[in-house]
Amino acid sequence: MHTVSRKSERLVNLTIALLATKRYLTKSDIFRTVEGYEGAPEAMERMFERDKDDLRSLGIAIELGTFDPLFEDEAGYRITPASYRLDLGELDGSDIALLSIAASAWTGAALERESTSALVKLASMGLDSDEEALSLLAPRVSGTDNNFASITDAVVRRAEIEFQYVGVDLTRHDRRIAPYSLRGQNGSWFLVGQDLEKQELRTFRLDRIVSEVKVSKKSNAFDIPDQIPDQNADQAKEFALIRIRRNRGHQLRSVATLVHSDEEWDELSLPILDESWLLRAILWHRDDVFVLEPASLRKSVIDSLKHLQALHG
Amino acid sequence: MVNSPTTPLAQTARLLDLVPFLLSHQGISISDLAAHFKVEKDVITDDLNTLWMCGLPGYTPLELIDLAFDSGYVTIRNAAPLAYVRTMSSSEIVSLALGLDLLRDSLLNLGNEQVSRIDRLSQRLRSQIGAHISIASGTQTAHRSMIATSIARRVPVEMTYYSSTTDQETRRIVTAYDFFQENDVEYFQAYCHTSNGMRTFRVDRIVTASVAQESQEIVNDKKQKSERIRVGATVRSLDRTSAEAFRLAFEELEVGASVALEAFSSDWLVRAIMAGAGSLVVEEPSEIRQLVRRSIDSAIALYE
Repeated sequence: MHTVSRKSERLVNLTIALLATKRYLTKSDIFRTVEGYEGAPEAMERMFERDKDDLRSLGIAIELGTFDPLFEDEAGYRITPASYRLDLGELDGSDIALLSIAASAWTGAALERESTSALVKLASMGLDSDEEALSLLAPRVSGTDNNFASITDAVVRRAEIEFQYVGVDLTRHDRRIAPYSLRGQNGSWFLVGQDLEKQELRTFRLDRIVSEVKVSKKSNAFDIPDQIPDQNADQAKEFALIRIRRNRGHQLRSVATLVHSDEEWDELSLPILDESWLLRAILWHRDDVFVLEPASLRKSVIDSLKHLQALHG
Repeated sequence: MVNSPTTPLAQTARLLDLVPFLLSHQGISISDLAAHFKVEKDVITDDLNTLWMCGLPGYTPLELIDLAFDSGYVTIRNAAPLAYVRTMSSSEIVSLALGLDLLRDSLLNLGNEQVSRIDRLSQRLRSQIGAHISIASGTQTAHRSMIATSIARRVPVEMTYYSSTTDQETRRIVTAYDFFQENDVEYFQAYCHTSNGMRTFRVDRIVTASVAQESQEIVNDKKQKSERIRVGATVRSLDRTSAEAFRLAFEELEVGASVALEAFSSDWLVRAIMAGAGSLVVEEPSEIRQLVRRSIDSAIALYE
């Protein structure tokens, strides 16, 4: 415990010294005056290098410069208040209230730690805010996924990630992805990114990632295309023609277009985006749905049903 | 509780954030302070003891941060260099931006002023990180806030609700009592005025929701018992669809293993077994196995 306090004490003292100085502090200034630097010169050097990295990882920008550009002085360091200080533009009490409620949506969820420190910062701005009025409507983020924080970090930094993903047959596949976006929809989180082995855009559901997500240290490793193409009907290569009993099959109807209907059945056309999903959705609907075309889909439905029949004989 | 608050870096971040927080909350109690930072009281006391040793080079009483907290209440002086509220990290900004996405949906029912304020804030935050991270502007949170309003004010809500079990949409008037969560899915308990009894609904299955016009009476509180159906099955092949439907752990499944399956309705169970395409075989009880078999037969009949 004691060593922990010593280190954070030194880091805070270093921050104060670099923030308060009007001129650049050289390493020897720092070693002479800042509390906590001691031992052989090489040891202090190493300590200082680590400390700089640590402060940078906290998002503190340390500027390197010299006193006088005309002389080749030893370079020095400082932190400018402008880069250190929070700047969210002009905010009033209502803005703070909305932001605070937004942060509290993470209670018990993946970014709780980040949102806690964000809340502390908002509360430190010294503005009165009225959260009571809106707190009734405070939303909750669903998702406690351990990988959530690493993935958001990777999306923001544009860093490549690696993980194991579970396929339809439960086999695990190693994936290396350039993550483009993260989106929450219908209670699940979806990661869209370029699969770096297959060179294709892929969508992944976070709860199907079965390993820890490894994030590369290298930032800005790729460019994100301006338009990330959506997987939608325009891209479907093939359409299926199916019959759904009237007033049934709402899940399938939402992605299909009505072609024709009679008293008992509606005939619908729907894009085949994911053949395995479609097969399962058709089986789910039992005798309320049947396939007319294409022959291949019709065959796999019949084969699956015969397989089920044999197993339950 | 927040992860590992005692690593040197986590502590440093907290110490830097403590100063502006204390400056705007002079006289706060140590326990309130710990609650704001979501750490234990002795962690924050340790922080205060450490911060008390920090200051400008020289480190005489003139340069050190002046903290008093012996009484259990904290005051701070002489902390000018650290008085600035520190800039936010990108993950802090992401947490706010995503929270705003959800809040925006919750407020859609309430009017435009807050929504346009949220849009302005959200745009400002997103311009600082420049990343595509969002929550789909869905109807789900709007529905949730409608149910929250029903809980808070005991007002009846008229909703169209989709039941995947019967594969039908029904119109119901409900007064909600409470939310609860099971396996990451959010449900609510409500009195259903349409069927005169307590029912359980999934928030994500609401298709439309609005405040009901007529006032409703709650007739009798006869609770319907929902019996779980338990079924013994054999794993025939490894299949993600089946594993997810029955919430079986991916890593524990193997071919040939016997598994216990649970469902609230036999109808749902039969559908899930069929959608599994032969990855799970129902062994017992025999009534359910026959139910599955009949369902398969009538689906095959469509192709004959």
